[in-house]
Amino acid sequence: MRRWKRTIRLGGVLTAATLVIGILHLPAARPLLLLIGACPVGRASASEIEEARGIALRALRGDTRAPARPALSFDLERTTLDDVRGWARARGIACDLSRESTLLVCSRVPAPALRSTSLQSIDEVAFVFRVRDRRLVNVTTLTTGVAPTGAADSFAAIAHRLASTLGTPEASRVPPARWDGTRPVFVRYRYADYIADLSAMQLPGRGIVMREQYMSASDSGS
Amino acid sequence: MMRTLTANSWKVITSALLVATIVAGASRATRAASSDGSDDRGGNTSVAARLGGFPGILAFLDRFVVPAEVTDPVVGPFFVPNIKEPAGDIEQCLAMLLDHDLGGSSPHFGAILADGHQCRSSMSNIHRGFGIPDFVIDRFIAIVGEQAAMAGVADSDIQEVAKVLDSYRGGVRQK
Repeated sequence: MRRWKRTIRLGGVLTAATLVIGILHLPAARPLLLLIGACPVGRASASEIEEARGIALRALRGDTRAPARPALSFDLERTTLDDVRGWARARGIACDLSRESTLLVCSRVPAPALRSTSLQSIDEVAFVFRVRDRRLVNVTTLTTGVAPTGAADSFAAIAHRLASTLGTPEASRVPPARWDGTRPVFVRYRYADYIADLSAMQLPGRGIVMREQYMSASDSGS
Repeated sequence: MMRTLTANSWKVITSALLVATIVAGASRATRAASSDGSDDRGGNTSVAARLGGFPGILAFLDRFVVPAEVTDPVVGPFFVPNIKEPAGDIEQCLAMLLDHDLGGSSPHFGAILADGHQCRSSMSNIHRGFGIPDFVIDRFIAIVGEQAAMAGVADSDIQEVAKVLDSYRGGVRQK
């Protein structure tokens, strides 16, 4: 009998707790939820991140298919996580794998290792892999603290290489002579199955920041 | 009788508190929603005014910045809720903060949004537990600058936006 009473009490407590948590998540009760420290749930999973990326890509991509999909020394939707880890290991490049093995971030990567035409080493290269088969869908580089002349030369070399493969970009603004970085520059390609972006600008106290991004925009690759 | 009365009183008090909280949240949300339509452009020559005030900055964040941030491998995951909920809480609070710090009329913090969310004042508290390094902040600001340049924002205004965003770095980094 006591057991039954305990079970009923426990059930009641659980039901009440569920109700309270549910009520706290109603829009009008959010101030109260914030007062008690906000919801602990909310860190996105690899699948949720992939779904969000798909939504974003549908907003960004173009209409026609890309004539090619350059992605430094890798092949979008073909190169695997193991391929990239092997590439890094062979060159002694340090990388961190995270987010359920869908994100690999490598530091201090020499440009020749990526077959990049950048004139500087790359501070950070981030690789994103598709959840279902761990194939590459996004490569992004970031280099900070670059001097204006070096950044302008690297930018011109990368933009030239992209143009030789893809043709005229959808939009671009290249560094003028004696560029000091205060005028942001960019090159943008948008296709139905591929997006490439190159940009550089001066950040306060950080020098010039250069960023290259190559990603699959097809439904199967996002 | 006394025991029954006390138990009932607690029930009434608890219910009343809960209802009061929900009603207060709803009424504050309505006030915030009604004041959101203000326009900064009347006689204001600030960077915020040139960007269209709060509505212009929010539209820029929503249409250009959030999709671009979401596709970045490192910054993207922080913006997952934003792409699913257009003009969500974080965008609205950031738009108000930028509008304020670029010379507009939005409150610096404390605004209560239509859904009851209150914009917080402490960058440290907002980003606590994320351990965000400098490179992530660089990426975030570079993407905002890149998107502003693509959208045709004036170079000097982009630099002002970058300065304001960079001023939050100390409150965001490695919390």
